[in-house]
Amino acid sequence: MARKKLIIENVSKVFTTARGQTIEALRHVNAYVEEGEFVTIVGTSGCGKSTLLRIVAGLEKPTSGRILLDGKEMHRPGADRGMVFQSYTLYEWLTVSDNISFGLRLRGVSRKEIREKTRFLIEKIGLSGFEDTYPKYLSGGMKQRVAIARAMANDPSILLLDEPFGALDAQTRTIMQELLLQLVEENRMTVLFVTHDIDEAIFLGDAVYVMSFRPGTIKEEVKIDVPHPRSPEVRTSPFFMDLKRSITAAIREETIRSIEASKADMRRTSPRVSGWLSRLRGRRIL
Amino acid sequence: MSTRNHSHYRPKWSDREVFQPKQPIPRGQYISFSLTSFGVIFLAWIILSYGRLVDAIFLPTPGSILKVGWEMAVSGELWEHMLASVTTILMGFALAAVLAVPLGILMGSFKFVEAFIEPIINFVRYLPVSAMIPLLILWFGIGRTEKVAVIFIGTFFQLIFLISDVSANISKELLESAYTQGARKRDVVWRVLIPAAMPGIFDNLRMTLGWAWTYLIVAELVSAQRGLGYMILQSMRGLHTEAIFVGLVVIGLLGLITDQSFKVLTKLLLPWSEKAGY
Repeated sequence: MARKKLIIENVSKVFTTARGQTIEALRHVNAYVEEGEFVTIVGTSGCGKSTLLRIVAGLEKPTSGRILLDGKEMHRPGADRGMVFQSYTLYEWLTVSDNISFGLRLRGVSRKEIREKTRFLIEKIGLSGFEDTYPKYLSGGMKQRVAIARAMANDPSILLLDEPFGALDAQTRTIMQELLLQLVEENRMTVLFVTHDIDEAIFLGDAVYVMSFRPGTIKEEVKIDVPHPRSPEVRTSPFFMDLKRSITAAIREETIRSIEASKADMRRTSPRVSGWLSRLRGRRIL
Repeated sequence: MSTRNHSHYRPKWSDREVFQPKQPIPRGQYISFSLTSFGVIFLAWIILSYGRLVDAIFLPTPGSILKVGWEMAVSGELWEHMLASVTTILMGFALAAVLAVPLGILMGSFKFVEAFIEPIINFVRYLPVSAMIPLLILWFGIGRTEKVAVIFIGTFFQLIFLISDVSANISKELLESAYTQGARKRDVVWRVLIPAAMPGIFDNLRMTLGWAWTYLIVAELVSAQRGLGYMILQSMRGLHTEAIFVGLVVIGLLGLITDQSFKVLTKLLLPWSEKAGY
């Protein structure tokens, strides 16, 4: 068995809202990612999967539990856990190459090395010719390619992705998934990928963690025994369909619970606000 | 048996593109509409003034205004007042900007700074500067210092608030992405927060500079020894209506020039921003 690269050990997270309510986002989450493994976490919206990833990245502190990377406990964010966000986080004032080399320049890497590495990555993400372009001229898919290259430039121990293709249209998303898979396969990267898209989770993952809703816990762990490199045909294979059916059923329960919870939240709001909300819903705005 | 009715639909006048809400119209058409509004007003002015329908004391002819403007330019009177106003504006505005930009960024980024200065700023922000002119005259006299103080107070408190808003609205994930690339706090402030705030800062500087003109003219109307506002007031006292119009036109042109230079500056210094166009 391969070495465990990342260990999420007994992580819990409790938020306190401005009105003093406590929300248990995560409860005793245990998970791991092996060296060179692509692990996806799938769950309904609000299940705490993004919070979990942010805790791994060091952007948020767990209420209890710890994150181990190569056996060392992590407390702060760092370049060893490169992250790609759902929202576009490219630096608008930097060109494509300068965005990619942002971390390298912070660390004072030599110019020659920066140039070589940036050129290599730009070619890998298929954006040759766009080196000196500002992000405002790029499409959403292109922006996320640069964001992936930017995280890869720092040679992270693990690559973290938080619904990176969530804002893209279905066709672009498919292409981006294949591109990401190819990059990961070629560079033997270790990846933790969060999504609400079941297809995406199965197609990309060597293992899928299915999360429950509030408190977020690991509900199921599914191994995806499809060898790499994976071809797009995997998506329509009977094996894939069976997996999808069972994960969809598991998530469906959680989604129904999340809808019930949001109704309960609504009931807790003041009568005036809930009156407003119900009127808005009557007009099919909500 | 019925056949499909292919009767010709006769377009009504209201079917034209121009009458469709939110429908863009050709550029040429747009310009001709803009020119028409300008032309109508100009034509009305020409008819009223040259036709002597309104006394020249109230509405002088375009020709006489140009003539007086030329005379004032040649005699140097116009330049003296213009220079006085422009210098005062630049001094007051530069002082406000130099202090408000860093403070605004701090206020938008650090909650403790916000808690420290926001209450005072919100109090002063709703005090009309014009109400403070008498006090400022008492403190600084009627010279340039008082005008600079008026402009400073009028723009500084607005600017600091607007800029703190710009900096507070920069997405947290933009900063977080820098941390996940190994950036330290200092890097995040200098290399992410400040550049990201630049387009918004430029926009607000441009807007407040327009207000600075209003404050200056008010201050000059109240009491001054030179400046465009002073020139206008003196012209009123002497019933030199042409000179009043000259003053108004010059102020309008100066405003237009500053606004356009800000646009050019944005294109030059921030070519990457959405505001610089594509």
